[in-house]
Amino acid sequence: MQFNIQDLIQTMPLVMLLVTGLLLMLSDAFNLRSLLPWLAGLGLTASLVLALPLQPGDQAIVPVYNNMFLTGGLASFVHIALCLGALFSLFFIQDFFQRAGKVVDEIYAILVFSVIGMIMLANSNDLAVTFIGLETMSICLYVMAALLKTRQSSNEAGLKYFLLGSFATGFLLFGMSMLYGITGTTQFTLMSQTDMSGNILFLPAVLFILIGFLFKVSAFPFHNWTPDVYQGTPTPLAGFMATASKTASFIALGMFLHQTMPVLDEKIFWILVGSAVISMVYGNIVAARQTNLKRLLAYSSIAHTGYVLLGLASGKEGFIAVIFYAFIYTIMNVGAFGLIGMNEIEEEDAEVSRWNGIGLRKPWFGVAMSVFLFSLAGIPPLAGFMSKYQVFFAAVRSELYVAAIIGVLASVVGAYYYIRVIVNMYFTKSETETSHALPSCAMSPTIGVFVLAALTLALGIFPSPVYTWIESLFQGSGMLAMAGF
Amino acid sequence: MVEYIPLIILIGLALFLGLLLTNLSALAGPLRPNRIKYSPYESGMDPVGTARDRFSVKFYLVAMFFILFDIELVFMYPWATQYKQLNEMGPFGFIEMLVFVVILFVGFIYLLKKGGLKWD
Amino acid sequence: MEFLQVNPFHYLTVAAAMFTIGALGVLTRRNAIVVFMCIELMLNAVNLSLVTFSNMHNNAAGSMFVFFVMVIAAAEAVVGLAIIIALFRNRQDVDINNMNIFKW
Repeated sequence: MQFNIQDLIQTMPLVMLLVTGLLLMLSDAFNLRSLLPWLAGLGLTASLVLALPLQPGDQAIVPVYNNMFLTGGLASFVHIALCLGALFSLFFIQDFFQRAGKVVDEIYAILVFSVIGMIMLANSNDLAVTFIGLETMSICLYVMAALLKTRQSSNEAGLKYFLLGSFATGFLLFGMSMLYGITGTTQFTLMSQTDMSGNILFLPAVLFILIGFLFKVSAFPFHNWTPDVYQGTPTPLAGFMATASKTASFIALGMFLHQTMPVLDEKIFWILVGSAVISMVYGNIVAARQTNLKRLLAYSSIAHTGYVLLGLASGKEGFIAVIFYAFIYTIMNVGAFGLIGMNEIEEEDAEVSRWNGIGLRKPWFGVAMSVFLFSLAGIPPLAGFMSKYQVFFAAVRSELYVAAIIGVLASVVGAYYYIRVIVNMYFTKSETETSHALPSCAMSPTIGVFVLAALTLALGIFPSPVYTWIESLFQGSGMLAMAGF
Repeated sequence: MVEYIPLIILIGLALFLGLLLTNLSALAGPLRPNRIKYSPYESGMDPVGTARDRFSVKFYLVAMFFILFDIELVFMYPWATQYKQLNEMGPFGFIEMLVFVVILFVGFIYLLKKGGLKWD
Repeated sequence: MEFLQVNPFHYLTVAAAMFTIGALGVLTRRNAIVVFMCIELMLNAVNLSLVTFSNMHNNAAGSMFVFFVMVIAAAEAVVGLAIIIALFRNRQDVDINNMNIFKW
């Protein structure tokens, strides 16, 4: 047990976030309300800049604190992606709560703390750190879901998420304890040195851990909470929940599977593929009959989970595609949820019919929503197409032909309901006059929408800088090469 | 059997002391009984009646704060048992716990300022 | 007195039984608070098994893990009870069978 000042320097971006969170709590306590969003944004940006792997030596993953946590290289990219997700959501939060007539200053601190949890989860190399990160993230997300405490829908969303979430955590934890029992260590890389496959506890252990992770990413058998929770959660926060938390959980799951097992167990592999295929089909089919936009996006997020899981099951290229996909999905889905939030005041305002004719009333609003929806549907030349293409390509390269074909077919079905919304926006007349006051045209969400739409477009046309960056970080990370890649 | 003798002495002593103290107060103290004084819990809880009463939600708040700050201190146990070894590598162990306590303290300030401990 | 000797296997059996009781409780109980108590039971079962494994392997990683599980369970309890109280204030009822605002 040795303390190393180098470790502290390596984890500076995370410390930065922690300090930001504490400062946010203090400024909230001392009623410095107008400062809060700026402070949160500043802290997130500073942490992001600190994490940028600028020097050539930063390409490699550096394990710190007795191999418990990973920094540098790929881990830095994950850090940056998660901070970006929170920053994008930040554009929409203040305006949304102002129009909802609620003062919830604590949301900024909660947002920052949840990002800390996500980063710990995604970059951990130790079961204990994974668990702490997962729970820090989840507890913050439970609070976010129940944030509008006078609304019954928000209460109910919070309670459902909380009960089911901690139930899943219980399973995850039991799996972790079994894994610790088999190997006698909590560190991923040390686990890979033990031959676990013969042990009778091995399969139950990994299955229990998978239950926890599949719940957090809302993959097929554990998806039922998703639509209810997203519908009840304040909309911009639902966007954050749907993207950043899933990104973190996916990367954590991928790192866990690849680091602990030199060769992915056959049964676990097929469980992943099966869950992926059913999620894609189920999510897309059920989403097609939704009338509430938030529920529609929730079911579509189940489908997207399916695509990403397929990537996770297809080896190294798949994992690169997963990270790329999660990054793109963050951008387009935060944008879509943000726009829905701008068009609602009361709780039931996310109906599709509310969007009738909006494309003609507010042209830029309609165009932005169309960009996000087309991108989610995976239509070229938008970013969503590139990410989907990479995932399916990786699946084909690892000979998952049937799964890839089902995925492509499912996403064709999926395109139907996204385009139905766009048709509504342009070709259906609005029945109510009252909605003319909306959508909100406040400064910060408008900027946010423009930035996100521009990024969606830009990453669709020029995806290679980001993709090759992830790829080079992947090559540079010595740890993953050790663990069977 | 011999090894139990101290135990028996202890039990005897405890019995004697207990009886002595309870009776001493009854003998020596002034006796001014009233109804409230004779109730089992003088603090105001009525021991007879329905147990399914609701009590103020403020109790819940205080209980929550207690749980949080109480359980956070569990981290000090491993730290305290290893303190000597930690001290051998310089002030690291001390500073580490200082950081932890400062973080807890920020939470406490937040709690105070938000009025979490105000009873009314 | 041979059969009274306690070995790690017994602890693990108790842990597994506690976990199962907790999980079944979550699935069958209808009061949100009781459901939550069952979840806590599951977490404590995990703690027991972690301590047992820690003792078996003779290293402290598992015991330290238990501390973190305990603290996080407390934090979770605080947030969870706050959510349940907020719900109770709005509907005077914490029966999870009546949580049916959302439909598809």
